[in-house]
Amino acid sequence: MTATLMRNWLPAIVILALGLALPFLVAGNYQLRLATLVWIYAVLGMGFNMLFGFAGQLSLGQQAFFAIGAYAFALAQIHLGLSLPLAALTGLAVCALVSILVGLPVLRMRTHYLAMATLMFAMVVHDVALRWTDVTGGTSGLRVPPPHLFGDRLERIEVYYLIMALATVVFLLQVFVKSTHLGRALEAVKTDESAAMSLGVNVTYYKLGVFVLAASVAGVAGMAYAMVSRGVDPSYSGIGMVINLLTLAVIGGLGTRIGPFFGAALVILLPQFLAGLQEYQTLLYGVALLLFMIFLPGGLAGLIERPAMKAPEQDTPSERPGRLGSEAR
Amino acid sequence: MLSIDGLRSGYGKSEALHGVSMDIEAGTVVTIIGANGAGKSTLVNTVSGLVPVMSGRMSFEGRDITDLAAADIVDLGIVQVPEGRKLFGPLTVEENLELGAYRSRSVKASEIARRRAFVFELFPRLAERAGQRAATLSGGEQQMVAMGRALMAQPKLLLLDEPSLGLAPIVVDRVFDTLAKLKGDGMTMLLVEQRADMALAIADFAYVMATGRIVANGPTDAMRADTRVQQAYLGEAGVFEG
Repeated sequence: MTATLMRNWLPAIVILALGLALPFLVAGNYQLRLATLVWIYAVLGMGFNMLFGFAGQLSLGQQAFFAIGAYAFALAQIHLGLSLPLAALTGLAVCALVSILVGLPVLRMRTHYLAMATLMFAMVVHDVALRWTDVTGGTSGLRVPPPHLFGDRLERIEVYYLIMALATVVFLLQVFVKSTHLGRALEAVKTDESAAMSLGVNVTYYKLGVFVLAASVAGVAGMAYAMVSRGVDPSYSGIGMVINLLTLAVIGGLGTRIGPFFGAALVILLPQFLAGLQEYQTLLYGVALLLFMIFLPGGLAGLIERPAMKAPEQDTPSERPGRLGSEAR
Repeated sequence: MLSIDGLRSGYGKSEALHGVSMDIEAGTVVTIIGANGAGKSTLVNTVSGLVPVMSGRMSFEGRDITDLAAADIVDLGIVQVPEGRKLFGPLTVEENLELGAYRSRSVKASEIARRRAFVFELFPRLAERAGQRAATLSGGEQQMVAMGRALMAQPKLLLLDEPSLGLAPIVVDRVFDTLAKLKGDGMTMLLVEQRADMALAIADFAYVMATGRIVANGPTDAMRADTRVQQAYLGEAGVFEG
């Protein structure tokens, strides 16, 4: 029991402790900024993880919600003069609303059709961000005011801890989803929609629910990114973003709880170490990704955590493994 | 208990059931036999709310269920053991069973534990393999999980779609022994089977389907004596067509 408990929580506790100590270990603002970005990417990764890792719904449009959250957050502050918490709530509400409107039609599709549809949606959002200059500021984007909370301007280190706290909340949300009946239902939806439906799992409801949740979490990440960067521009919804996100997910380990943290750290930090290699950087990046997919399909987190819900118990071989499902038709 | 009247249903615009009527009395076992593509699975899936009804009515215990969602139908006590078992492979046996009781989340934990104990008593093998991933089980064990999963919902009417599919003969015998035990406990069942001989041996009443219609029905004793049914067992297709 305690062993399982340790196994489940120890990696998270280590990451948390490291996160708390990090500002005192890094040298200078640039490194602190990188550390902050790791948490932001981890949040973005956790949203995708819940959507694809837990529920099997492949969306390539998470970057759109990342951007929508950021733009809404910026506009609420610039035009409505809202305070940081209220602007954040506005961004969250806009993301949730848009994701419901988009999710209702596109979630009728599955697998690569869903991936295509969500990617198209993201491209539309990207184009709107580029061309609706009056509102979005076009290519130059929008400036976001310096972060203030309860009248005080936040220091960089305070922003770091604020964002780390957000990541912790999203992490706990993720654990909650995975360890309650919600996780079982999503796993059922992911494995076999019709079987899930025949047991009374409301498949449409869960798919939409997790889509909205993931979109909102992506929006939170986008707002945090805008806060740290003091601005938002169309690159937020660009194709580079979704490539980073997929890399993060694969390297970290899909369906695990701590995978997004590992993935985020690698996606942010690896290019720093490879910077000296200039044009070879992309090549190495690609090779690294391939090696991961071949040798570590469970990602970094797969080394310590099994993607399914419980700690591994022995899979004693049965007399003869049977085939699953769908022999007929 | 279940009453179906003039049911038409299908996929998209193509109709697969062309006006099916049937009745199932509480405490009886009813079987549907017929060749591949006759519409047996479509019928079961329509009753479960997985295939949309085009016209006709269905009622269960006097309640109209024609337009109910799949989840509501499970709540009323109609639960399916799907064709091909359709387990959640990456999950353990125990987690699969838990998902069977998915709609019973408001039920007390002790009641769920009682149901699980019942399933493990029925299939002692599953108790041994409770922590094992469903994908690693043998075909027979997987069928046990599929049946156990449905029983976790404590159904009033159990729909079984080809429970013998893809199983070795000796394992098929075990599955039918279990069905006989459930029948002895008074479980009402609708059994779709290609193995008509075994289905007729256990059922009280039989319907024969061909190309989306009921072409014959009657008590199983009478059906077994029917030469046309005998021919159909032997796979001589076409006897009921037209």
